[in-house]
Amino acid sequence: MDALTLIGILTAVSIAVSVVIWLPVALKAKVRRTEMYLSGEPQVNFNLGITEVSWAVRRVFEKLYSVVLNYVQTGVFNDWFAISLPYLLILLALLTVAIIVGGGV
Amino acid sequence: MHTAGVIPAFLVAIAFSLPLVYIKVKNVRVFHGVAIAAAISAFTLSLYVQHYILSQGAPIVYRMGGWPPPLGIVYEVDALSALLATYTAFTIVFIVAYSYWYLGDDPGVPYYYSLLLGVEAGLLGIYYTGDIFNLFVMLEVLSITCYGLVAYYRNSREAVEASFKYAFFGTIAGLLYFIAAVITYSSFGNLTMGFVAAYSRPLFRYFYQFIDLFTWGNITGAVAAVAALSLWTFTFKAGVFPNHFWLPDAHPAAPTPISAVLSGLVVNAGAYASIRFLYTIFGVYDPLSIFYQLSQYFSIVLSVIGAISAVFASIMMLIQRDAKRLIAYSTIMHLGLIFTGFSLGTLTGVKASVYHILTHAAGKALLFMSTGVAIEASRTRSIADLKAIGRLNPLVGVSVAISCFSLVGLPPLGGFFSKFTLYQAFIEAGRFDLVAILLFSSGIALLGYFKIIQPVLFGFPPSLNTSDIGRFRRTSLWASLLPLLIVLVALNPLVVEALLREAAESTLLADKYISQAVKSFIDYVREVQLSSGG
Repeated sequence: MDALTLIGILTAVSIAVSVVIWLPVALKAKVRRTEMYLSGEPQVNFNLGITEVSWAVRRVFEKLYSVVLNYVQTGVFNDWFAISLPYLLILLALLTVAIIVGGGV
Repeated sequence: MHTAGVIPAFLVAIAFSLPLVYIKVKNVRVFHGVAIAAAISAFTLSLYVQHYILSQGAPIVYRMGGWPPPLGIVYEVDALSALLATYTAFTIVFIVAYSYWYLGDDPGVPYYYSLLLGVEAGLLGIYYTGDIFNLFVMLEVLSITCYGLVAYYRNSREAVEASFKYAFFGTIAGLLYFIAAVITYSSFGNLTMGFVAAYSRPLFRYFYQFIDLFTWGNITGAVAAVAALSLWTFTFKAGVFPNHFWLPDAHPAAPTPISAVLSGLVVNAGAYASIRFLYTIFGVYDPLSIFYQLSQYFSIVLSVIGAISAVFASIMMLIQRDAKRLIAYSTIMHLGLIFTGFSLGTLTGVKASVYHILTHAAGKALLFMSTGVAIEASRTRSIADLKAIGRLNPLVGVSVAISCFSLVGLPPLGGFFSKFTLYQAFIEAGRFDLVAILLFSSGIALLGYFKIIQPVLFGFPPSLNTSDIGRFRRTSLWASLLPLLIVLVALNPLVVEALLREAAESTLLADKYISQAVKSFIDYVREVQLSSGG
């Protein structure tokens, strides 16, 4: 395969991936935005604009984002250490094992 | 070759003198002028260093205070470090020009430039240094100035919190790297990168047996700890998963030109340091190195953290409502891709990573600066409320669109060619899983970038008074955005292929790097002999 064909294919696939991800979201999701109200203003239903992607994606991939926002990107120091520290320990253990397996020590 | 040694010192001197001058000189425009002159000077000098290295065909060694390696600290600049340093200095020139537009007559300008020139000194020092401890010093110079700049709006709760988080984690990272340096010294007996690299390769020890004089301890036992600790630190500096937590808070809280510096340039220091340690110093991917056995493990670790970063950050981009936070996540994604590139240990992989560092730096700096204009005009960072500044100043709209398209990887922009080189590297290495990761993350990121493009180009126009309209059409804005826009279009293989190949080859084959360090020691001995009459 020559370079130009590969360029075309890769670009097309990249755009296709984004369309494939976006389409089900755009077709399925209807966002109901409830503004703050005192007594009985109507709730507003509207279809998605591209700028409302965050509402839609959060709604469609609710479980994924609840896991990410509750356990990974929480904004709480302790949670960050709970992920970063094991990463350091895994690195240390893995490379020590690698050295021993390779007969370095 | 003293020029390499002069540049960071020159920048530090200017940085320290600015607050002192401010005691007497109260006109902040003077400081804008001094900063742009310092940035242009640093770029010119770094360009001269790069030209010198390319014409010599070998790295240069600068002995600090005349002390030879491994006894004293040296700067050792090869094709990779010269390329990154020159590019960094070049980008900072336009960021300073943008700062002139952005900050205007803000009374904090002298302190701002003091810190910004400190950042530049730290970055160039990291690229130029040939000493593991001096790298620690330069990392600290870089980090401390960055903490200050993130907290530039010191009355903002968000900025102070973000800076504290960054500083807290950064201090731990610095400490771990310091421990890595201590372990290196206690086992290798010296901290000169070229000498440690020589000791990692038995062939060089055979030819230069005198280097054993400087070495003691169990070097193979030490390397596991050194590599783990330093890689943890470098992934923190680069903002790669799982050490990325600080980045989405810190980058948006800083003034916009600083967000451009942090996202476009500062994170590259982590990627560069990882490459320098793994490829040059320990030779993990060099069959001549005694640590070559570690290559498959490092390939796994780097490709896994890189892939997770790319996918995780692209997914997080979709749910952002803050424009700068969205761009900050895009930085994590791109650094992840850069890590997957050099995890392969191949020439194309390193070339692709370095290429992507260049295109990402220009694209991200331009995206932050152009989006910053929209944020200023809209007086909010909320994506939904961004106004169509593109209707007022088409250059800003075009800059947002082109930088996003380059970051996504659409032809014929620089980002496309760097991603194409990444694809090539993955396919050559048979890593089709990484091809899928690159496609998937780029596809999702495209949706994320459209969230910014749509309001800035097609939203409602901003409601501004006449003086504000004039501000958004100033020459300084054109002078900062247009050159980076041209760079993004011009960064194609026809222009940069030779530079990238040179940088990748000097990274993969450390022979010249080692030889120059050792030669510097031999030259010193010869000089001493001659001066003492033989």
